Amino acid sequence: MDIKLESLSGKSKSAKVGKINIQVGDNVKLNDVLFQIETNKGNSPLKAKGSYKIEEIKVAEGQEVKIGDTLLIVSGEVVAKETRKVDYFGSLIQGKKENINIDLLVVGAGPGGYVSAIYGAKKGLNTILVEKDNLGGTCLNVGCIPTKSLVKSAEAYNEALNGEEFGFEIKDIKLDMKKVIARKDKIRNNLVGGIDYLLNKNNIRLIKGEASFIDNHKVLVKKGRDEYTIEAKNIIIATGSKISKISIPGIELPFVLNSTEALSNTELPKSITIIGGGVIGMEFAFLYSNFGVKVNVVEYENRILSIVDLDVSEEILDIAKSKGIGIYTSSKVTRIEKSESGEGIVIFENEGNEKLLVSEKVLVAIGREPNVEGLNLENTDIELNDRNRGIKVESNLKTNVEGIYAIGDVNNKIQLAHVASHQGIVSVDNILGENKEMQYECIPNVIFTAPEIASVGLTEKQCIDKNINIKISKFPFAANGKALTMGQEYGFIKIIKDLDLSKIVGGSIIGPDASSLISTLTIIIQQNISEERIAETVFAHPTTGEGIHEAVLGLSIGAIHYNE
Amino acid sequence: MNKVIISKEVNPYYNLALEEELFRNIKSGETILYLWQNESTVVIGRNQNPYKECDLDYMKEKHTTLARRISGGGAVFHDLGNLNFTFIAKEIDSNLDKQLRVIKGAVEEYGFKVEFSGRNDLLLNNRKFSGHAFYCEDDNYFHHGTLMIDVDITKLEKVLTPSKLKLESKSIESVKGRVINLIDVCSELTVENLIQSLVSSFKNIYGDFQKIDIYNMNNYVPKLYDKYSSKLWNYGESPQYDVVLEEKTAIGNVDINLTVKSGKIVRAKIFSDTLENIDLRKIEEQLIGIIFSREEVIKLIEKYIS
Repeated sequence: MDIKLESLSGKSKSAKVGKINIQVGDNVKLNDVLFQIETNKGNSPLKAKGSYKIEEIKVAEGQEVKIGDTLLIVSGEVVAKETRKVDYFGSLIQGKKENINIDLLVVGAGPGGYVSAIYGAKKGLNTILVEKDNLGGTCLNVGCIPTKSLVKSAEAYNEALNGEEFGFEIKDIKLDMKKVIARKDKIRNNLVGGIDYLLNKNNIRLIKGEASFIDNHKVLVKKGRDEYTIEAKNIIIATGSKISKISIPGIELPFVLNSTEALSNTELPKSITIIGGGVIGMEFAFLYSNFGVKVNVVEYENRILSIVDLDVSEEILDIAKSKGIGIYTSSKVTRIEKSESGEGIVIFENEGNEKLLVSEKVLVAIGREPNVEGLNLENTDIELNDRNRGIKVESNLKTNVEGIYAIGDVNNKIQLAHVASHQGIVSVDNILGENKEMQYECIPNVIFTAPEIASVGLTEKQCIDKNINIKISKFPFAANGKALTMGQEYGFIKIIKDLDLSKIVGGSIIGPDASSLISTLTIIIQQNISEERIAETVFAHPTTGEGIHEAVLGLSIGAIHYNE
Repeated sequence: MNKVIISKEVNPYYNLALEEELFRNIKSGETILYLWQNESTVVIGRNQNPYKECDLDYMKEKHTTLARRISGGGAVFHDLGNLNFTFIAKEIDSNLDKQLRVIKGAVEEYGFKVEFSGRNDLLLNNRKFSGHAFYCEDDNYFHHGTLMIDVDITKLEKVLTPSKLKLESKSIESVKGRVINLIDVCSELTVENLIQSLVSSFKNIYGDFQKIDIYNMNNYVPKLYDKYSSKLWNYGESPQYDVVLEEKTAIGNVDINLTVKSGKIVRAKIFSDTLENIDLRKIEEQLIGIIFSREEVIKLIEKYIS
């Protein structure tokens, strides 16, 4: 019989196991202390709810645990008959009910919601933020930040393994996935604590609970027995997105993970098949590969990372292959099965043939959909997009209902944290009567593969589709001194110029520091900085940034340090 | 009826034992404000390891006591420039916002502007003067914390610098932050004044209370005193850890690798560069089962090699 973690003090969802007070083989009695469990809201002993023998302890001291995790395997009487003392007051105690009138209610505390709340509060709006789970949303808890933490661990591990290239050798490098995950959790907790601090500093009231609409202007928030009825002049819906249910037969098999599960998996598989060669799939492909896992990726489209230009996609494909990552494009997964020895088998169709890949784990990295679950939008007049894909908004982020805005993944425009944050700022400006619109032409996009990929503005394909007369300049990192010293002499910087408007309209970077370099290109494009002005600008040596200078020169007289 | 209780003892074991006893006997509908002070003491969190949190050698030299509390969180240093508060109530009667308002109300009487940090601390000018921790068991709850009025900060920094032991532990780690004494901002403030302000702030927010109960060794000895003063509680209740001692001995350098569980050594491995013929395995066997402390381990080893 399994003993699971059933509840935690306060509203905590996860905790750390402190001292373990029992040993395998112990016979415990009702109310004996089993463990100390420590959340950010303090320590509590976990007590036995019956008399039983401890057969196995499934957690270790210092381990992070969530509600629902199995803690112990025991034998004997697991739940004692109800011996709890009668609480005479307990049944009399009603949850509190509160009616609140407020300028701004923000539902959801991800990068869209919490930024809206802080920005609104700074601009003088009396603001309430509602969140049912952790502060920080998908981005901080199960998205951008946790993956980047794993990407860094994988990169550091891989560099240590390949130390010879840099002139050293480390014997017996041991990877401890538990520590990798613990590091990620620590970073996450740190950032979540930071948001909490900022909310406090800005006097934003945070209500932890689930919000649902009563009508167009009233929202009910339930938190345990407590109920808050909030009437708000303005409401920003920022409930984000969730992982879609995918109807591939076999998806429920135990070795099949989604991205959230993969991020907390403390056991590194020997091999993994990733379904989906998009941003999430390819980030995981490279990080697992750097950890020494044999990776195969199955992608439905005819190329991986179809959002980036073809030449960028081909470059990353070559790098992936050179690292031993197997890539199968134009491949439709038909089902997942389990082999007799317990391995996963992913079965897919490719050019009319049925093919198989066998691996220890399978990661499903496709499909996120706008999350409107539990909001009871049917009680309002809010319109949804076609096929119910999220809440319909105009470019000013207004829904069809006066005073209600929808930002971030829930409006299904662009699923990027920084877009959500900026949409939040635009919404608050509109609430304050400033008539702003969200511009989408110059949104940078970064993919944390190894090497990184980043792009901004128009892609080459978009230019061709729009019949724009363009010139392209590419500067390879192989001709950049800094890239060579970093041991990352692959990839390039690509700049696209609209010849009729005589203006730089797009750029892509694949290679070292791409995630940082893209900011420079974003400013150039957004602020319409001319080629001449960039050419006159001094870029520091030796840096990867020099590549931008060189690529811009490539549009006219040609790069100094590179000849095509 | 709400209560205010003040301990006149400055012995941490007395004060922590009294706190736990008040907590176990709290009645429904009642909130206790308990105020207490410890003489030079390091108080570690329930799931912490003293070897990892403080400089035990320095503490010994400076007559600083080690105590383990039952609430979570990190290590703190107390002396008579520090005042501790505890709010004790049934969990359902607890109200963090109200409790913090009591503290805030008292401190702000002196013209300070108090802010909350994201991690259970109170700040003044962005520096921490009050760290808080919580404990829940069954339906009972307490929230306690420090208030730094005039703490010896030089000593605080020294005692909270861990001993130079190589240690691998799964214990909860302390979060270090910059601290500030209230006296640095308001030079007239004394512990006595702050006690009075806390009591009147408690009265403002919670309404009238019975009377102030004073506790000391002469009128009451808490039942849990022995638990709090025992070595096994203070050292042995740490989560399992591995420790490496690197010692210079009469026979040369020895590295002693130990695993300590519930305070006792459960695994020992000794490496040495000695040329003498000494059966290290015999020493290893002898180490198993003893309560870990550096002195004990060295004593035992020296006994064998001399």
